[in-house]
Amino acid sequence: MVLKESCGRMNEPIEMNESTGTGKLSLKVFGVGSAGCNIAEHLQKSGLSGAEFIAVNTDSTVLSRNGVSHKMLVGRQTTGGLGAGGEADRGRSAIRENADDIEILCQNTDLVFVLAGLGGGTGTGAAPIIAARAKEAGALVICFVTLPFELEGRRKEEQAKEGLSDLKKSADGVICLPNQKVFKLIDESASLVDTFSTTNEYVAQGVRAIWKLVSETGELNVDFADLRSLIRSRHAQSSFATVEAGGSHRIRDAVDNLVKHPLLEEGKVLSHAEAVLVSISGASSLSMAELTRLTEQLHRHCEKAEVKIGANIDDTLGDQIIVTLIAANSEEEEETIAPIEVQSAPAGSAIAESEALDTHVEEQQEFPTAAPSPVGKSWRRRGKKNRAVHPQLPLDMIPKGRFDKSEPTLYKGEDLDVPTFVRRGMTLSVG
Amino acid sequence: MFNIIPRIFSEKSQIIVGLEIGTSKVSAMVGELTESGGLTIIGGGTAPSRGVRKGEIVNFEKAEEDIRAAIVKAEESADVEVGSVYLGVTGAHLRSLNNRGFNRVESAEHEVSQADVEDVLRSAKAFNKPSENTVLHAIRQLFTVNGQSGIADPVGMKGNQLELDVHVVHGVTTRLQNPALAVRGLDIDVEELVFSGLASSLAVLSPEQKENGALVIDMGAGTTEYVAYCNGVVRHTGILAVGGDHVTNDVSYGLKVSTHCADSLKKKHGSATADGALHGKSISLPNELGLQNKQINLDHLHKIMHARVEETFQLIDAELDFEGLHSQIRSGVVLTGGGARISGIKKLAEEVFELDAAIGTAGSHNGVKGLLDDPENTHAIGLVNYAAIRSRRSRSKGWFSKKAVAA
Repeated sequence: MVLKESCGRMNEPIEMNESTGTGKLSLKVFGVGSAGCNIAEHLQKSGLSGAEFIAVNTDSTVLSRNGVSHKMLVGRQTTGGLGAGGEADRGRSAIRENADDIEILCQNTDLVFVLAGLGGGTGTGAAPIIAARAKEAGALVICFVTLPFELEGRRKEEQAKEGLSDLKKSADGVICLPNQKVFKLIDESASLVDTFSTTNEYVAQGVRAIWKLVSETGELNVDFADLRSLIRSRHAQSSFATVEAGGSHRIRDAVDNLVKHPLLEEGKVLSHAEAVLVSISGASSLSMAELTRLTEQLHRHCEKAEVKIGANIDDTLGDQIIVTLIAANSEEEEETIAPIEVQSAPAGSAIAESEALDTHVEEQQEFPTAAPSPVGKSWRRRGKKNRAVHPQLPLDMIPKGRFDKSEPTLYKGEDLDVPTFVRRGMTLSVG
Repeated sequence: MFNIIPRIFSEKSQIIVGLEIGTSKVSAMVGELTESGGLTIIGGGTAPSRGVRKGEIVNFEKAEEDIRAAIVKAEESADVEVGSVYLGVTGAHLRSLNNRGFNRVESAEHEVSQADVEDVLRSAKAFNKPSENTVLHAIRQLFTVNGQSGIADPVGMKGNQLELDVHVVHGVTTRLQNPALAVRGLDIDVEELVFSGLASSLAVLSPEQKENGALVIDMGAGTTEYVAYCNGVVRHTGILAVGGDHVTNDVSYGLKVSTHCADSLKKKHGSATADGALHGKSISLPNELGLQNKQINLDHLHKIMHARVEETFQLIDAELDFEGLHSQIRSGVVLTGGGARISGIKKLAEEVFELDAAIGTAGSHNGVKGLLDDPENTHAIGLVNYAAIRSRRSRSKGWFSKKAVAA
């Protein structure tokens, strides 16, 4: 029943927005799989002007419950509308049935966002193909994906990794939010619903920020062409973070928060970034000096990167500024770099302290800030210090049994004392 | 009384003892080497080991007790008194590499002499090693004389540039000395320390196998050693501190049974191949407490063991690939040590290495049949073998030098 009813409406072609000629950008947002559809729904509710939302799923029940304006049930032959069962292969074959429809949908579209939760069947399998087809149709494709929580198991993680590498091949840019990192941003006791809605909100923030950046004309404009040149051809995995700050030290606070942001791996992402896109929104009180300081400080954190800054004025913000940063990393930089200077944590606060003494001289921050701070710190903060990497210690319990107290058998970074089947993520089904 | 008779007739035979202080057992093998070079294994004793983890002593006192027990048994079985042993050593700290030594032949006729060979060997042993390490072995590979490579023995050849490739095994000095210290504490001399993987390979490989290239994997309880021979010489050795104990530990963790129970499950019902044929089959485990019997899923048991053993083989395989030796190993893989008893391990090795595999024992030796046929004894027998080779070589060297004087 549900199947028939929903299918009737779902695959109606969406009227094309012939906007490419008119100079206004057209955006289509695909929510793929259950997680993707939820994010799309969330985005649509919170409002994203000028975007068309399409929910794509293999599970008709989930799809019919979704509130997104356009829906598309894919893979009716493969899955019968019953979902992909967590298998990326089924997700892939499902979307192949409808791949041409996707391409038709994406014609005359400038920008396509693909939202998906990697690790499951539909999201992992279908998103890369949708991205590829949308790209073929001529759109710039940016994927926003979440990686599964650790508790969801090794298999999902592996599948998600595969999906991610597929996506990197097919999309212009991939912005990835590892759910596990969201834990650091929310209260430990947050409910399940809250946790998921937080992750949805984070993805939504990223989508909004990029869209805002390119669709609205700001005072310092970053346009679609900039975005395109920044992420296209880099095949990169990007990270993003949004921070808000207010008060008289808002720029400094914003940068500090960005550097400490868990989604940017405490500044590690910044120091390895190849390209950084920053968008700042504030009321008309936003001064040129503030922008200069922001640029200057960011340059210091990402020395290797090409930094692009966009600014727009939003008088509803009052005292607050919102800074959104998207950092594109090149593939090779993923190797873990040994921590350079471990005592770097206080560096941020050192700046804060020193600058706090000196708020009235905004323009000449360099000299006065150095003077009041302790001698050892004042000159070092300009160097590598702020780019230091914080090592993360593994905290999970490893079943090592009788080898608990003996010297660990490390082989290429892997502890061989931990049972192989645990490391390989093999499941031993009951029965 | 009966045992004394042969010794009266062959007075000049020499008693050599190989001692292995293993993770699961201490084993001493006694060999008799006759003047003509014939070697017979005349007895041996083993005792369970309690003071060793991953091939290295962690409890000195217990290790000493166990060594004494094994030596006493060996003395009884062979009816000899053990005064000195060749001691097998292992441990994750051992490293190996191939190195090349150079030497200029200085004599007037440019004829390579024994002294030149010793000089080049000394030069080959010199390499940039960590200061806390000592060289355990510098195993000769082949000589190159004036660019002509592949020479087994250059003494007497003409040439002025002598090069020698060696395979060097080195390890942390203090950690190498610990087992020797335990043995000396019992008033027994240690003749020489020998890398256990090398010893095992000497016991199981025939000269043809060495010539054709072979890989010996000695999977013990605490460590797995491997030695690759190509063209008759040792090309690569390695050690992984992973062994039967890990298999037991995995089983114990995965099936939630005690270590003791996991060990007996591994031995009685274990297999290194998991083909799914046993899917859903289970056995019930008797318990002493009179509680309900625990059901053990055999499929799970096999899967857990398979994963561990397969991984170990894959690591070795990757190492061989890295060294580029895969194509040079033509006579296959020889599995030995206690791990070779795991059922299906031969098939698994064939799958992973894509080579023929066989279980290696010291069966080609003379001596007490029961001792020779057990793959767990290959290590200690290999030590005896090593000692025999050493002693034959020194004799022949003596003969050589005499001849040189006479000439």
